[in-house]
Amino acid sequence: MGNLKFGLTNLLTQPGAVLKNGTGGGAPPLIETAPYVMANLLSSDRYTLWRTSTLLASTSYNVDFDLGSNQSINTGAMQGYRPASGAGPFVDVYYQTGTYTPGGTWNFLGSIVNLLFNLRDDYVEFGAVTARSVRFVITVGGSNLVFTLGKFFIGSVTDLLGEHSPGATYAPFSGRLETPLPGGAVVLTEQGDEQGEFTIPWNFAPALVESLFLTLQTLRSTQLMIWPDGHVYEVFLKGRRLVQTRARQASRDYELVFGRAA
Amino acid sequence: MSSPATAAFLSAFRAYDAQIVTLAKIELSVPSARTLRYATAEINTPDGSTWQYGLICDPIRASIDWLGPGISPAEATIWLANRRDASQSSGTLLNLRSAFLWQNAIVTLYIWVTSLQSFTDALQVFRGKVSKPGKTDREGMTLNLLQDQSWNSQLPPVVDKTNYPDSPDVSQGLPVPILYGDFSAPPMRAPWTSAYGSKKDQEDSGAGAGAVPYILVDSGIGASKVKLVVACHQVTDIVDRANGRSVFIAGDGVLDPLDTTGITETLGGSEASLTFDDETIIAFAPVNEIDVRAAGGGNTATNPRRAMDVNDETSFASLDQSTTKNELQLILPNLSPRGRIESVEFVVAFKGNASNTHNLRVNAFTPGGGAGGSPTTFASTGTTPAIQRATWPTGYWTQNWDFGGGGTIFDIRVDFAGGTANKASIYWVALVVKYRPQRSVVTPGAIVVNPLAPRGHERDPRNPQKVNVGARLRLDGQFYGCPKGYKDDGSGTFTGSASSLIQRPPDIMRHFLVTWGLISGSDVETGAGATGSFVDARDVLRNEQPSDAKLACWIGERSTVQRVLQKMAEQSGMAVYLDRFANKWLAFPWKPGAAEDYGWKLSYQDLMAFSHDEFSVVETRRAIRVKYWYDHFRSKYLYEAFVNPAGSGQGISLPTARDQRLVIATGVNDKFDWKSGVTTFAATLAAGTYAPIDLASEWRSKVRAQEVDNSKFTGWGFSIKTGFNDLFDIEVSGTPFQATLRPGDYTAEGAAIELARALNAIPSTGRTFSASYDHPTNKFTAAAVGGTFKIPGLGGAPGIASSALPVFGYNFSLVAGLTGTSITSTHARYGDRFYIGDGDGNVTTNNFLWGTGANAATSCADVVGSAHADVTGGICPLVHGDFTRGDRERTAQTLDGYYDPREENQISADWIRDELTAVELRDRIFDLTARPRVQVRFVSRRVPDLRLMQVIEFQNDLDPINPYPGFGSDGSWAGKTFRVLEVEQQLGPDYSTEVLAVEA
Repeated sequence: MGNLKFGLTNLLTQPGAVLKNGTGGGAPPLIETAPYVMANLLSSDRYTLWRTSTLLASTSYNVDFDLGSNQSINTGAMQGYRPASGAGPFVDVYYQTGTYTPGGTWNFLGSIVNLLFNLRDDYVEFGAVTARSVRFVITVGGSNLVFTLGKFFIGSVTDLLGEHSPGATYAPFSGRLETPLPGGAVVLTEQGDEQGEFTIPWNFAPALVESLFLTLQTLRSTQLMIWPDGHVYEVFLKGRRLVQTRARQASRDYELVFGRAA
Repeated sequence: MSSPATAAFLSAFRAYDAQIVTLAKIELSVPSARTLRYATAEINTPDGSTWQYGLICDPIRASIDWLGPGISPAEATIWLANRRDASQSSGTLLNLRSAFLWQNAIVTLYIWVTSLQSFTDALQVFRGKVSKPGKTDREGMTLNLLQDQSWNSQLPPVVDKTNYPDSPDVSQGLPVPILYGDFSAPPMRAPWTSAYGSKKDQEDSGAGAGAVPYILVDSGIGASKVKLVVACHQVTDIVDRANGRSVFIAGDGVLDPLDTTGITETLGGSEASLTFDDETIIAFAPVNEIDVRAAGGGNTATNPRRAMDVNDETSFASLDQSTTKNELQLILPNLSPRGRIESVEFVVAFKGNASNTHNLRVNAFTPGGGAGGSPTTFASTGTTPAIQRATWPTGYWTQNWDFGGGGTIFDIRVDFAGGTANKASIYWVALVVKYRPQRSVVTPGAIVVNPLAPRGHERDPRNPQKVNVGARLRLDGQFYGCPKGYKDDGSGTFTGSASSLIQRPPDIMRHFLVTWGLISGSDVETGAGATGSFVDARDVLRNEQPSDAKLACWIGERSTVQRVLQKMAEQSGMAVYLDRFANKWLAFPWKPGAAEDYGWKLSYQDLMAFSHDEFSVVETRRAIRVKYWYDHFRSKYLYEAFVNPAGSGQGISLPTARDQRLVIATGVNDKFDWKSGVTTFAATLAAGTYAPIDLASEWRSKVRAQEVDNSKFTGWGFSIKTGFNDLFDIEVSGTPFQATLRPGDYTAEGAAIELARALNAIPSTGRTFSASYDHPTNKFTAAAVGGTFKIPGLGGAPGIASSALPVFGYNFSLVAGLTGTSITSTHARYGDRFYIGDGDGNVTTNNFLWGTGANAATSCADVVGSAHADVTGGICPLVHGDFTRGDRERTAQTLDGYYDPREENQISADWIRDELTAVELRDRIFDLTARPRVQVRFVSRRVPDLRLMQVIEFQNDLDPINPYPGFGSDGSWAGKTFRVLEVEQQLGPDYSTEVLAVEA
């Protein structure tokens, strides 16, 4: 089991970030199906979608971003992935420092490899680097692929150096309707993506945890959360409510309840 | 039967673990096109579409009132989350509100199951337009949706000075009518042998009736011709006096026919009209007698007033010299002048006697003064009604229109020129004035002296230039006529027959939607067997009768397509609506006993909630009156078909006969005369009040008793009675088999189903049988899979004594019958009518002597619905009554006892001008409203494709839990059908369908 980690800021949805595809000068072309354009990747809304054009089998496609300035990063992710046809891709993450140079050298950071397994979100962690530009290289498998994506994530994930206190829960659930019929059979009407709720108690929170929790409570957007089992989720602090319990002097207990963006 | 859902969709949707998503496609078009796609869960569909998350749908609600005309649109409401649409580079959905016109944006809602592999399997559950961008806040916006209403335009066009510059003031603003159907004059009834052969004489005599208004758009001022607009479109025919299509000018309380000479008829294209010269047009005014001359050697004829009533061509005054009924003498009136008289004629409608020895004579007669000097005589030996028309001498009238005389009084007298034993029936007698209608002066005539000399000349005062300026006149008046409306195109698109008159209600509504609602023809369902097919609806409305239901729609008041369509539907007993699934117009007749057509008999396991109740007794109606054949000139209905516990009538034909009460009274109507071969027979039926099939049984037993064999048969409708007509003989490979049918009063379709059941119940035939009824031909077909079979002639059928072969029209002249894998009946078979026939192949002729039988005066013709005219049946005949008959009076009495009397349901059917159509509507409404009906409410996850007006059925597994409640029923839901009136389709998270359905 790993530690609980949070990525509070997605640099790709910040005002300074620029999508480079389609800007010329050697930048990769736009890979999109209107109206679900690549520019939607700059939206923080998981449901404002990018839809690829048909990505040919055994071919790689680049998605480039300029972060506007050098930024420290240690994690890349894809959030809200949904295949329309074909099987999931293999995605490598690269970076550059300095001015965006599409034909220049790109430094490998890591690979996002689990989208084949019906996941909506996947990520890769790497050692912190300072980057100005990032490139996601999407390599298609043996058949053509079309997918939609809510957004990419690039940013720094904070490792809380622990899992949480005992009693934490993760409750995935479906919004399905379960309708009993007169004979006892039940009609199950599935309602879309799986949802979930995380309850995270943290007793005697160290300063790192306390600081992150207090910051997190002030954020209006969703956050990237890496659960100790290694899965990544886009979550939101329910009601932006944080329960802080004073345990003893200079020591506080916290309890946070997160909802999972489906 | 057809479902808007594919089999793949239904299979996926009905799975117990389906993942279901509602999709909304919003097509904005102003100022530019943009399509938005939202769903209750984000999804990519196989058609390449991506649907953004952010949709919540209220249930779709669609309903039709019980026995209502339908038409009201389905509605829906959706909510879109306020997020950036994929098509936006900035802002959110709310920013699109000001950038696009949202009203009338097209919205299509689908139910999608994620396991489906093709988007063609998506079920469209609604297509409509944004009627109102509803409540909007920072969370999102609501869109209220209504089905398309763009077809609902205003009509018809009106007369104004732009389109008719010469139109008189009185015509301004009058709608130019739209005409559908046949507006020909009411046909002449028996004993007249031709519907319209003598109609123009009757109309000239003052019986013009049932006409519709024509619009005067040019009164003929100066050199212009008078112009009457009949319709704002091409019509089939306007003027044909030999077939009941006259043109009239309003006279003094009557319609005066116009002489067709000089009238130019224009049938098409953008309008139909008549033109004629106002100075030469001729009209015919009737002079109808005002009383019977009683004193002074006057009338001795029997029932003289009947000869004064030109509107009733069935009743007559009687002359019979053998009983000193020698003279029919009636008093003539003086009239107000309506114009210059050209000539005057008398018209006598009469029937003589073959043994008469002297001519009939018509003359003027002055009481106390004697006969006029110019009698007209004519033969009186004809035994069928005829017209005698001749000049009424000028000495008997003046240009002051004083026909009754001034100083000298003139009566009109009809008698015989001599003899002592002559007889005649006088149906009517009248004078007919041929005249030029009075015109009005626009500017008077004058002689104008020109004060100016011609150019270049001096004025010569001794020779002033004079110019005669003629008076400028116009023809005022109200005009009427009996045209035929829209005709079909050269391909027969709407009727199936090129250039035919469009008059069947489904055909009219379809043509109206296309022509005036501008609906694409492909958006009207016409497929054979398709749910709501307009073409199939013809057959349902025909209802096993020899002719189709008809309407004659005079659309001469400002209205809308929707209101007109509603009226068409109401008067034809139909419901019409725009299907939310397929965007097609569907048509459904309201008809009792409709068969299940959904294709899925609902089990108790399919129902998440089920309850039933019954209509209140207050809602029942057992007194129905359909008033029809509207007369626009007199502003009244001419006929009515009615039924109630104390009476019934069909209207035009046999107007005094009670068509829904089958009573045989001794010495009144208990006789039946017929001739078989050379032998004449007479039977006497036992007195009593009968159910239809029991009267048929009584009739047959007395006929067979006379003929002393079993060849004659009778029946009623498609009723089967055990021991009377329940055996159906066939042969397979030389082996005789006999099917036994269950008793019952069947519809034609029901009888076909029962026949197939009974045949298949015979063991060891080696065949699988089916049976069907074809409404256009009114014939049954029995068919077999597995080889041929034979239906024997009745004479060769082992079960002839109580054979059901005639019920299905199988009465072959060959004793051997017919062999095949598909055998169509030889005779047409009609519902609700008595029939009689003979299965003897060795008899040359069968004549049923309703008109000339020895006991014709006391025949049972009225009771069994036969006109009082002989019928020659020929060999192996099957002859139906001319009119439907039933037992609804007694039914009404019985049900009044159960549920108390209720007020009469009066239906003003001004667009019905066909007796059978009116009677059928009366009967359908009675059958549907006479007793409280059972209605059911349920919720199901199995019926997302259920349409309004479809007919559903439940399985009998419901019986142990909630038995069928109908009084007097078997308590089982099996075989009971229900018509869907309300559907509420949930669109997430629940996808159930809430349904209200009423016993069909």
